[in-house]
Amino acid sequence: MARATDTPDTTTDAAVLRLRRVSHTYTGRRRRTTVLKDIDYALERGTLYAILGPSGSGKTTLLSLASGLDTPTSGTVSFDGRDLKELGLGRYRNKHAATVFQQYNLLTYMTALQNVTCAMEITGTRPTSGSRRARALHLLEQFGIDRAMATRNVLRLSGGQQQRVAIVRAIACDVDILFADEPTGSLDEDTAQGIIDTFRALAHDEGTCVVVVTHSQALAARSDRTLVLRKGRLTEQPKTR
Amino acid sequence: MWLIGLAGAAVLALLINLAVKQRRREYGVLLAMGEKRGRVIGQQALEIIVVAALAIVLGSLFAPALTQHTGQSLLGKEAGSARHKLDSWKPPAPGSTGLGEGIDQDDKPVENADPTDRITVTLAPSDLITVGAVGLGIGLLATAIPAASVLRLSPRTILTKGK
Repeated sequence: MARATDTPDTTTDAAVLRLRRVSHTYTGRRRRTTVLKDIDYALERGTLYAILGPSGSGKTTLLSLASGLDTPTSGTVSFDGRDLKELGLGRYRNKHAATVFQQYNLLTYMTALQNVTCAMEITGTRPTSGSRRARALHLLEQFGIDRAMATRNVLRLSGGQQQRVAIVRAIACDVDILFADEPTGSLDEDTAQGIIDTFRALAHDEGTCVVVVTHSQALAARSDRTLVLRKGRLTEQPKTR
Repeated sequence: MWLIGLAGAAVLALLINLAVKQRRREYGVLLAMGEKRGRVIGQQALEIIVVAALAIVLGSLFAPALTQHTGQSLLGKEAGSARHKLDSWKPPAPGSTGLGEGIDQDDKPVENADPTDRITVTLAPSDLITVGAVGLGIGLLATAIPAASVLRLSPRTILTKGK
């Protein structure tokens, strides 16, 4: 894929994204709530991560900080050795990271196809062969969205179909890191397994770092690394054999 | 006249402000994909300019006829009513002031006068340009201010609170 690249990391560190002493506190009218405390972790290329944790543990907050949607109260997030603040959060989101939201967050005045091609246009993604439209249609079809559905307004699609469109929109942009917040929540088991297979292929075949926030033990079981977020602390759960 | 213009401007600004705020979530999604803030505001501004240009063109086509018709309807009736009053005026009897008969000497028609019974309203191109420019300026301000206040937030904040 033709895409402008930043200055490559000159270290031998395999980490594509590093969180250093990341903490985040929400300040309300009457109180302050610290949801993340001194998180230190390095995410590697070609790896599928699953982040588990109870509701309200800060999983979505962690995802937001790692994906550049927000900045931590303290600590640094670095992509390929460069602090996101130095790189530019907008540039990071545009060129290197994509997010699949739990609420899909599709552009509701567009069709499924337009949602995908619009993302490709914004990120400057150009397929090596064929047009953006052709690639978008191909990807949508791989996820069970045929041409008829692809040219329909997204609001006329079911929740599961919208979620698949959101996933395709992120995948189509050929990013270095893909973040997904509960991507299989609205899907039936077969479709959910297909999504997991896609994430594994992205990680193992394309070298993408895939980070998934999930409650699904099935997804966690098929991930390469399972991280648990509890009381603001992130720990890695050893894989049981 | 200025008060009417001010009221119109306030309504226009409020409507555009509401429309921009309804697109808050869209801004969040575009920013989440890495779109630049300037381009998002630029897109909004372009939409306003296109709508304003269309409104100015349509206004230029229909305003002269509409204002003439409206002016004639409103003021022409007044002129007609005044003319009827003048036509029905009768001089008092010789030797009488006419006060006892309800005749007002002040209402006496002016001799050789050319009464107005038709109002001609014209709109100069400069008037249309002025109104168009003011409307466009209000539209752009009403777009830029709320859009900027939303776009200064992080995409996460926009998406989680943009309901």
